[in-house]
Amino acid sequence: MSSLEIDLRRKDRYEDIIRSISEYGSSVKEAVFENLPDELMVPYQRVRELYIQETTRSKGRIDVNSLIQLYMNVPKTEELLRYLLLTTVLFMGFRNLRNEVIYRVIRRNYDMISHLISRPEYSLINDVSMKLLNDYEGEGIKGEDIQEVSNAVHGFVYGLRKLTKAYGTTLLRWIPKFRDMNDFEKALTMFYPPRANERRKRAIRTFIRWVSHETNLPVALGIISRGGGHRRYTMIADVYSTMVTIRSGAFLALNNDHAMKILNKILVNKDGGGVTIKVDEVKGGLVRAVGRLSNDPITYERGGAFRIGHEYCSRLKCSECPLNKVCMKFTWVNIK
Amino acid sequence: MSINIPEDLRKLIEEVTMNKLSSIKGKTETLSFVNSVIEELRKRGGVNLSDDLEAMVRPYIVDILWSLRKKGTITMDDDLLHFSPSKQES
Repeated sequence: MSSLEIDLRRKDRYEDIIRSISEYGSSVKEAVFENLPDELMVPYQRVRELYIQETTRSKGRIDVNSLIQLYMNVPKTEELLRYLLLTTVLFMGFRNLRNEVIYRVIRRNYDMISHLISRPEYSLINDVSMKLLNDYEGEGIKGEDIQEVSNAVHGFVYGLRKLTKAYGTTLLRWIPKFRDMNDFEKALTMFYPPRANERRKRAIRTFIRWVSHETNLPVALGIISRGGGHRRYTMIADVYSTMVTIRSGAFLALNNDHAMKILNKILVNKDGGGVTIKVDEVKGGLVRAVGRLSNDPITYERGGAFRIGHEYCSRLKCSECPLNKVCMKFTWVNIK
Repeated sequence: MSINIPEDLRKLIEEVTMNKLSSIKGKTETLSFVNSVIEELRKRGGVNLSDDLEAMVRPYIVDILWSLRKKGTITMDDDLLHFSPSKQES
């Protein structure tokens, strides 16, 4: 094991760690976009092309209305947005949640889902929920509850009907209107089953992440065009992003009392077996703060949380990890 | 959520930590201080410190030290590996 040379005056060194996490984040694609049904892959690519084409032409400035008009000309864009929304709503329907299984299951059942998406009728809820649940459990996951699945699907149908009937609009016209991330987050709650918990926040923020960043599906143009409003995105800060932020030493760039206290806990327990740090203890003060420091919490989270944390850090695959060269390797820290 | 330190153990840790601290005069290595608190906890009957629990207790002792630092009772060295009791007044 290499020795840890901690020199807090060398802030640049810790900023390098943050940068490496973000860079990795921008090089990977969100798993959901790799798992889209063929029919929706086309609008996904086309919307991205249009965005790049138009922002290049106008030197980075976005004319929201004309870009939306262009998006509207792409067939199935609305369906794509509804599909993505339903995917995150389903995050609330399964207790033993595995995102990648959700992506597979919803894709496999696209025939059925596409009916629900284009005609959100309450009468479809039972059949759809049953089918999704059977398929989900078919992947070897037990202990799910049909009521939860159907609550989720119900939330989606209710929200979508409210949007299209009461508000008389569509996701494609509605999403770009938001200029403030918090307002957007609040408004989105109508699609999700009413329960105030972490899982709900997490589901909503995932949807925000998917539509508010140019490397994903840039539809929340009001937020994006507002001088990088996506930088205000509040990270979910789950076990994985916390693990990467702490173990890598990225949090040392903060150099405040909170960071020092955590560092102290880590240092004095190096030889005494493991040390457990709770997500709640560092979520707001350190993990999200580092995300903000990165200037782009969305790519930071994507890089740190969903790939490095899941695939390398939690499995201690340091030698293969993209952070290997810069990481402080506080590997004796457990996150709970 | 996940495992937590039970309330009565928490109190015991605070008590043992304060006891140990009162016998300390000069600069002390934080690691050996934490070890000595753990040892004392083990000595006292009735405390069954599993590895998981110990991993929670160790940082908790550091938490206590930091709250004392805030109160001005102790000072931390810049290297974060040592601390010393401040001159007690106030």
